[in-house]
Amino acid sequence: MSNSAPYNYSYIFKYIIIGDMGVGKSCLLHQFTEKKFMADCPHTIGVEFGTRIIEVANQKIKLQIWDTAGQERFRAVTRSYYRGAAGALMVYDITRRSTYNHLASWLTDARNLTNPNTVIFLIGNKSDLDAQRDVTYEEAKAFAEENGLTFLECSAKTGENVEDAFLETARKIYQNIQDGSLDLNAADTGVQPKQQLPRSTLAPGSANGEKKDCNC
Amino acid sequence: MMMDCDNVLDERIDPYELERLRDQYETQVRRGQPSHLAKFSFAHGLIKSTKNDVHQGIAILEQLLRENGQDISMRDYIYYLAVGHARIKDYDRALAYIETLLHAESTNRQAMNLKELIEKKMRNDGLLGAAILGGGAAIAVGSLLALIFAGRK
Repeated sequence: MSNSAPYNYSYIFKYIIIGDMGVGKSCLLHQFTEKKFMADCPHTIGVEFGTRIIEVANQKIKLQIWDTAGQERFRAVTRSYYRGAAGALMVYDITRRSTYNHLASWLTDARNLTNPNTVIFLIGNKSDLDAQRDVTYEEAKAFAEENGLTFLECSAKTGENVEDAFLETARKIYQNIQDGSLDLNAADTGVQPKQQLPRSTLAPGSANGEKKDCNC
Repeated sequence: MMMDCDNVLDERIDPYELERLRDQYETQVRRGQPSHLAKFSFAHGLIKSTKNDVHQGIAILEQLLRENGQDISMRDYIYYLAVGHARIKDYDRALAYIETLLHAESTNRQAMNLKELIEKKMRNDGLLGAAILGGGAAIAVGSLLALIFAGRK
């Protein structure tokens, strides 16, 4: 988790990463936040967090990324993270068709549980394994266009296109703020301007009372 | 989930979400024995709620750990038991659980991150360096886990 210069940004954007287990969601996050490939990555338990500060149109933006477990038994748990996501990265594995076939179900969840302005970005991961490809670029591109998604094939291993996927999503969210289609005063937009920070979120009788412990 | 916090020890579940998980659990209780999954999902929600709820979540997870022979879910229970104990500042038990997970999965980065986070909390609370590991709580957790593993043979 990178927390360098935590106060030096204009907005927080919240992202979720969703998709079947084993498609490389955690590895994409790790490549994006640490610029390293994580070999031998165990299945995520519940949800994991990552942050990184990026720049869009000369504005510093803190991405707060919630990487969800892909295993079916976590569906009830991970569904509670969709609400209030400004961006959703929906990932499949280009070498396993079943992970592509399940996209419709992931997309339904994403559409139903996020708000209409949430930017959904489709990622075909493991582009380095072209020899084992099971889903063509053209087919996925057509699926993305039919459903109004932006699409890239990426490799968490080589890092190819990983930055672009995260940054392009942020650019689209930023554009939605600029053109007014994303209302910052609405609930659950997944975007928080810095001037509202720090916001007290501590419920009375909370389990964890110290504001100072919060890495925000 | 609230946006302001970005780690598993500070996040707070939306009360509406917790009620949804509670409903699912209680509906199953009324019909008979709730599934492990319904219990786990509800306990996970409780762990991310207020202090009293965290205690209830811990109790459910400990029960699951004792009863559930499914090895695949054990790591989930142990991980969230570490989270739960850390949230009620029972740091030595939290560390004992996370050490158990790291013992089984020594390269698990998620578990390592949680351990770092717990140690950071302990430093903030002035507790680290008090040589509490090896104390009663670690032994209690150790014997709970020993019982579970013994019972599975």
